[in-house]
Amino acid sequence: MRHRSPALALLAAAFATLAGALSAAGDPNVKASLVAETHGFQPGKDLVVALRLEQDAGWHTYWQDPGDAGLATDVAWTLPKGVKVGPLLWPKPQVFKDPGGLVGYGYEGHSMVVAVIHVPDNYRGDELSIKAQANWLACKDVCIPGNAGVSLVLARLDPNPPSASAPRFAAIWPSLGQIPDGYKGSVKPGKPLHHGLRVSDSQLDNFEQAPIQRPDTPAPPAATAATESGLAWMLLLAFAGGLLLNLMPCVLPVLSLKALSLVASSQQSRGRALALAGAYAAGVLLSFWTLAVLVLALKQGGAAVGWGFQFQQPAFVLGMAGLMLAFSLNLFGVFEVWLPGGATNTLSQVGRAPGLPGAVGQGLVMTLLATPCTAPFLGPALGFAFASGPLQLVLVFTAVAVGLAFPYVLLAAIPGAKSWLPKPGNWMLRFKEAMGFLLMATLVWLLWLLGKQVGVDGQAWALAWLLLLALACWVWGRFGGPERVFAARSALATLLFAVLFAGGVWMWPQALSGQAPDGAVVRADAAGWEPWSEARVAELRAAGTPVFVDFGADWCWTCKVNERGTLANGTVLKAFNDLGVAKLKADWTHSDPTITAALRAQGRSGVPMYVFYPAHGEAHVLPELITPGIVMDALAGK
Amino acid sequence: MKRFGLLMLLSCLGLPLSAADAPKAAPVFSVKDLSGTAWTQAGPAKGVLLLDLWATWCPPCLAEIPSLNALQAKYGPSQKMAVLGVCIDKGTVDLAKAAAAKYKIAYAVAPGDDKLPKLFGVSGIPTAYVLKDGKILATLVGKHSLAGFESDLAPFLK
Repeated sequence: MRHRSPALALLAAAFATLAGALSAAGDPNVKASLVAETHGFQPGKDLVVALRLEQDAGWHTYWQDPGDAGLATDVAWTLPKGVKVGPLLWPKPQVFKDPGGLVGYGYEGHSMVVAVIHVPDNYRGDELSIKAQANWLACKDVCIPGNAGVSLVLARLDPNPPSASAPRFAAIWPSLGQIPDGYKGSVKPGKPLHHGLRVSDSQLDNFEQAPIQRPDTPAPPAATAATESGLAWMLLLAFAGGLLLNLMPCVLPVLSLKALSLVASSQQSRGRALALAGAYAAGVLLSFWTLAVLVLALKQGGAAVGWGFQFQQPAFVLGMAGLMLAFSLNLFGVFEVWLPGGATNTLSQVGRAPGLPGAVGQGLVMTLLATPCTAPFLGPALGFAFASGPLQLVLVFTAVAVGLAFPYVLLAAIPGAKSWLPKPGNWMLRFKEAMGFLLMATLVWLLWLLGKQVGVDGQAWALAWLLLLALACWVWGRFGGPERVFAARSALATLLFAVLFAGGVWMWPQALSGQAPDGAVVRADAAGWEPWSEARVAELRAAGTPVFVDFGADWCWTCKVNERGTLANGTVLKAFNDLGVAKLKADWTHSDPTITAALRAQGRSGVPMYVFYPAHGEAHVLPELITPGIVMDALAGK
Repeated sequence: MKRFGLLMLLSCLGLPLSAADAPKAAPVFSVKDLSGTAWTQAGPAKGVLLLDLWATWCPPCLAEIPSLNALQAKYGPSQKMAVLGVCIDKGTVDLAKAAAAKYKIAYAVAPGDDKLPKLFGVSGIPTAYVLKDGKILATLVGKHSLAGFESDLAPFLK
């Protein structure tokens, strides 16, 4: 069933002539896609879709009245039987004035032309296929007619959550139906309709089913689940997730620090061990609460944030690299942290455990490094937290923190638990140094990540600052020992901090202003993974192709473990191949609101997330930690 | 190597590289302008033909009409160049006549033939071709000012 407004018949004819006349090389300056305001559809309810055009800088396409010249964008719909579409609804256009005195109306950059689709009550399909043939004229110093067949397949969903494009729809609703200032052409200004929607009289006359009603924007599914029992369940999941976070690969390097302190505290009294475990737990809690406050502040400011978002900031990664370097040098014995008591024997230092401030510090570092991971159970709980109010967010974060700290508090609290630990001895010195290398491995990872973000030049500046930091640590270790007088040590500490600060002021901006190399952009690679976009998923689904999407990030260790262990597994790859599954990768290494929104749409706030869209039927979200068996089951529809 | 050197020299001089390419054979065509004069790929007996493909819906095409008028006025009488605008809108004589009057076009205008853009493999307009003896001497894509035209056409207007 094809729908085309009679008023646009002339335009269509003009485009038909054009398409034939100008060579069909395609239009490299405009990308077209079909987007929907919601993730799925519901029979009996209106559905809002839009033709989205992304134009290269300087290029523009035209409004329904293009002005003195130009051609309006035209859309011809193909919809299932019984499904109807209203006229195109146009956002207020920009006015282009040519030096020759010609006035044009249209859109630069991104534009959306909206249509409301009515799905009847008796629509029986589980999927709704919307196809459109779009024609447009894109002009800069030259005019190039473009056309594209675009499509969208939506699943029947109840509730029907907003899609990743919903914020874009929200942004243009107020300007729909408005005419440009000083406009004297034939398009009449729109009049207000339900929910503030404005369309023109002529559009109303042409609408094939009245009245036009802006469908209510549904709330995200996670937010609607904020009942008391829901909260209790989410807190339980958060606790279990925090517990399991201890076993996640991104936490492994910090395990070394804790392993050492556990052995060290085995010499201590039970009270001392409990105090240390409590301090560690306090450190974890404190850092999770800090993180919660930061997330709330960013959310308040309108930023789209998710779990592990801080690793998207090169400054944070560089700071973490500095911390890791200082810790590993400390473990190598290059310098000692100032401690009262004057103990100088290295072994006794190890045996004395880190002290209460050290234990709090370990808790802080544990949280910082744990955040790039999500663990089983953690995904739904964090998704709930990010979509809920401040209280729920703080409660869920607290539950994760308690889960993360729980095993160590338990070990300290149970009297017999320490008996299985090895006896302290000289081996601890070697162990401590060996653990230093594990931290160095973390440093390698952080620097690799930084290189991905700021390129090799930025990375070189970062390394230069880290060298300065290492030098400062060595100077402190050599000349800042407890044998010196307090005043001399204070002066030296001040000097070293000043040098590091001055070096930072000079080097950090150089490091952070580096350009990410092209490799940061996901391209179709040898294994056949291609970049993710909502439009690409829709296009593939419209063609009946099953789709597997890997939402990941370079800083996410769980993602890397899954990618190398499971997604690169021969059996899995063969199954992808045999079933003709299209493999898409959404890279969240850098902040990307569309990916954040896609994660949010599935009730998640962080990576990894794996979604399998079978050729027919609803999307299936896989667990965070995937095995070949889990993927094979998902592909088989189990 | 010599050709490379010439290309380098021309690009240093700011001349369009299309003008430096070896002339290609123009597709064979024949159109009649509004006064009934026939035009082909051979161009005029003297000078060059500037064949401009344009449309009424194309803002940059309309914006460069005054420049094309000025070119015709400056180089037409001395027979160095003739300007022919082929309106690719619909191909009707009435539309071309109305457009020529509305935009005060002072050079030859021919109603569009949708074969012409296809023959030349045009992907966007305005696109103008410098034709002489069945050869395409240069291709000018996009809106040009009078100075821009004169700069690009300088090698053919001596």
